[in-house]
Amino acid sequence: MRDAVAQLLSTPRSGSARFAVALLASLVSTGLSALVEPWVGGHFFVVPLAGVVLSALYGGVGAGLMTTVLNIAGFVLLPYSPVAGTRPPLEEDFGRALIFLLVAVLLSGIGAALRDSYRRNEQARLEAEHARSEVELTSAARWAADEARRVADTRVIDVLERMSDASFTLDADWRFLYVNREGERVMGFARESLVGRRLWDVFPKLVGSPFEDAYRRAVETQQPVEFVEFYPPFQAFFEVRAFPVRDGLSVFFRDVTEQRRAQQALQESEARFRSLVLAIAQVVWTTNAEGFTKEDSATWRAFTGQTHEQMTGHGWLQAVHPDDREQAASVWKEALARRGLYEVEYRLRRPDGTYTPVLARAAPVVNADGSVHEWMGTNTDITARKQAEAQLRRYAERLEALHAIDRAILQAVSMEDVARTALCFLRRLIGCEEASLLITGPGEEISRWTVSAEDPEAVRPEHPRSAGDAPPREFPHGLELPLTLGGGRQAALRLGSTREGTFDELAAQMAQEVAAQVAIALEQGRMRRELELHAGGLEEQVATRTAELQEANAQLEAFSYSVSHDLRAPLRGIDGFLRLVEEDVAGALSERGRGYLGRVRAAAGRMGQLIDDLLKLSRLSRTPLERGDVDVSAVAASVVDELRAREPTRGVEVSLEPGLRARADSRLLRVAFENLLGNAWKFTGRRKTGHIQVGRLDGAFFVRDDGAGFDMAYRDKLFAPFQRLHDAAEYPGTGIGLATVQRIVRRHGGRLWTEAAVDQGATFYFTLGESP
Amino acid sequence: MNPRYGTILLVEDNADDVDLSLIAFERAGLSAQVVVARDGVEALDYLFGTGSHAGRDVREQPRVVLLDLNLPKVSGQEVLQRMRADARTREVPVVVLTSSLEERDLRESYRNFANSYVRKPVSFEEFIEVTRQLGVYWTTLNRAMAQGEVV
Repeated sequence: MRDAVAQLLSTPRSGSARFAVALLASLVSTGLSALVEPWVGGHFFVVPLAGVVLSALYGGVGAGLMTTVLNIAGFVLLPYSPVAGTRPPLEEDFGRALIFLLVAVLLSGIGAALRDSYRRNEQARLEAEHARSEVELTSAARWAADEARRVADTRVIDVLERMSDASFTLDADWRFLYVNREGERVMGFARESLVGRRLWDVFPKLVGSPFEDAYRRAVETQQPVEFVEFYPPFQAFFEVRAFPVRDGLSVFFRDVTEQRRAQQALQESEARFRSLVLAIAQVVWTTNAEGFTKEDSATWRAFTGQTHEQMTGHGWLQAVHPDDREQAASVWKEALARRGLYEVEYRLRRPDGTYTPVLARAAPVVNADGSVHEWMGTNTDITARKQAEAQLRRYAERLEALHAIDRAILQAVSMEDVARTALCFLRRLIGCEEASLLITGPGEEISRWTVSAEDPEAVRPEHPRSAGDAPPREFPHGLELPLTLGGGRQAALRLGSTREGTFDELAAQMAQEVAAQVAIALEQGRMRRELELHAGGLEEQVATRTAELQEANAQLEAFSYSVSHDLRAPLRGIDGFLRLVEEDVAGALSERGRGYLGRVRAAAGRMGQLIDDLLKLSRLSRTPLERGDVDVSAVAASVVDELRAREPTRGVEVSLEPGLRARADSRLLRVAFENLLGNAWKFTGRRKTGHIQVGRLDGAFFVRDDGAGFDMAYRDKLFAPFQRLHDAAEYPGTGIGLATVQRIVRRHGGRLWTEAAVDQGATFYFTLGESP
Repeated sequence: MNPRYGTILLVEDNADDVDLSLIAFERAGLSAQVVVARDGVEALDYLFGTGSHAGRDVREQPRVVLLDLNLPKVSGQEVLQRMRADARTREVPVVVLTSSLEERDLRESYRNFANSYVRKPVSFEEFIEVTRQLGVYWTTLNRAMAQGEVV
């Protein structure tokens, strides 16, 4: 309300506004008076008066008066208005109007005065206020400047906080003023614990270090310093920039240990690479992209003795052996064209004029765009390798030679073969003019084989009578190796050369090996000959023995033949003529005399029988054995039938096991049964009824009788020819029967044995050399 | 001698055997003439009219030849071979009369076309019997080729 009043009073106003307000106040107050008339009665002044006052306050006296006039006019006219008029104006109203007029004028004057007073008051206040604002304006400007600086500082600090470098600021007394976040991290201290403390107290190790020197120098010279230094307590390298600032020092630093390490590693790797190249290659060189040598190579100069000028361009080729130059140049050219690896072997002249075999290699160093920047090459001394290769070749040749000699030994038909192979190989391997092999036999005969350079594949055999005869060619250099031989022989391998150094260690070794091989070969040859001799002797012996045996057989044959022919003839004479004598002189002879004659004739007859039996026995051995399937039972039965036919009166019971079979010579088996059954028949002669049994027991055939038997003590004699255990008068026989059986059984590979007892019969068992 | 019974050629080197044989022939009552040859050569001479028998009429050949194998000079087998190889003696019967019973002798004899093989027994009685039978058989029973009866 007060503000509204103030507003009302203070607002500057135009005349029309004042007039409009006065009019408005009049209309409102008149209207209101008319409306509230019933409730206020005769006191309707109250409302219009308020309007007057307000109008005066707003527009001054004039406005107040205008409102007053208008209100009076309203009072006069209003009762006649159809709207509000309730009654016609009374005379008294004029009085009222007059009073009102007076009051209103008064109030307008008061209002105007009030208004003016207010306005002056306000004016004064405004002036005072202006003065005060003047003052206030000055202090605000200063505040604004401070604010701006504060904002700027904040930004710097913000930057410092965000930057990747560590940073701190020191005051003139080396005390920490500020530490950024990275600084906190790197130094390992919170800034609260650092600010205010002296640098040297926090990091005492800095004292006397290059860091301190640099900081002090920066402060003294007022010039920034920059350096990289290793700080041992942190085991790290720091790149440091220190800027002197007013009353202090600003330091920025970062940990560059990783970069330093990488750099160091790179340097080490380069150094290592350099040593490696130089360890492999004795010479390292570079050329430009076109292959021209420009850059100096100390190693090339040292190796070849060329000057820098001499090696420039293609001058290096002059150090290459003339024979290798062309190839080296063409390979180099080809590599340049191909922009590929260059690799060639050649001989390089050394400062002393000798040549060293080297392996030259080079490769292009390529730019980022793929063009050749330069060529980098090396030369490696390959003397050792070349020597090793040569040695390997010699070893291979030697091995081949030894194999060849081995083969030759296996195939060799003569000593000359061995000598040729060994000498040819050895001469070629060692590279000497002549190689010879000298052998002195036990009989002092000398053989010498020589292979010489003139005809390298031919061996020249010589047989000098003595060592002095046909002496070998003399050579300035020679090697002689004695060979160890058996059989009283001596041998030597002799090599001759016109060149010195032909017989080095390897040569001597090879010669030794070949000598050993030759010795073996010669020994084998000798043994082979002896063996052949031996084998020949054996064959001869066998042939002789066979011939002797055949002779003996033939003689035996002739003997038995003549026996069969001639031995019996005299017997016939004896018998015949005795018979004639008997006839002629029978009457003149006494009984005894006739008896004698009879005995002579009987003896002759027995002798004839003996001869016949002997021949039979001999024939058994001479005829071949022919095995077949034999019905043994049938053979035995047939023999028994013959025996019965010869002596039908004999009482003999024969039991034959039927179905006996064997793989045997049927003729011989029959002879065996003739003898065995004949014996059984004969020796059962004293029995009233003899018993003969033929059968098989445990795979052996047997013939059993219950005849005279015999004493087993004599069984050894039983099977020998002409051995008899019984009296011939009692049991006639020549004693050849069992010998015959024995021979037949043996020829079949079988066995014959017997069981017997005197007067209790005998059993003869036999097998026929095959499983039953 | 009665030529009807012809001749027997006895080839035998053993004098005992010759005598015994002759006695045997005599006892057997053979009327044939017996000619004795003491070895192979003599036998061949007789057969072919050569040597000591040169001029003999070889058209007349013995009714039988009793041939021993074991003979001096020329063996009995050879005599047999020569006889069989010659047309004049090819058909003359030959009886091998020997002591041997060797298989080899038997085989060779038959291979050489001997007509018979007889072994001489040791016993005199048997010998007489064998000889008699032989003489009778070959000189009377056996019919030889016609030449024996010529003239």
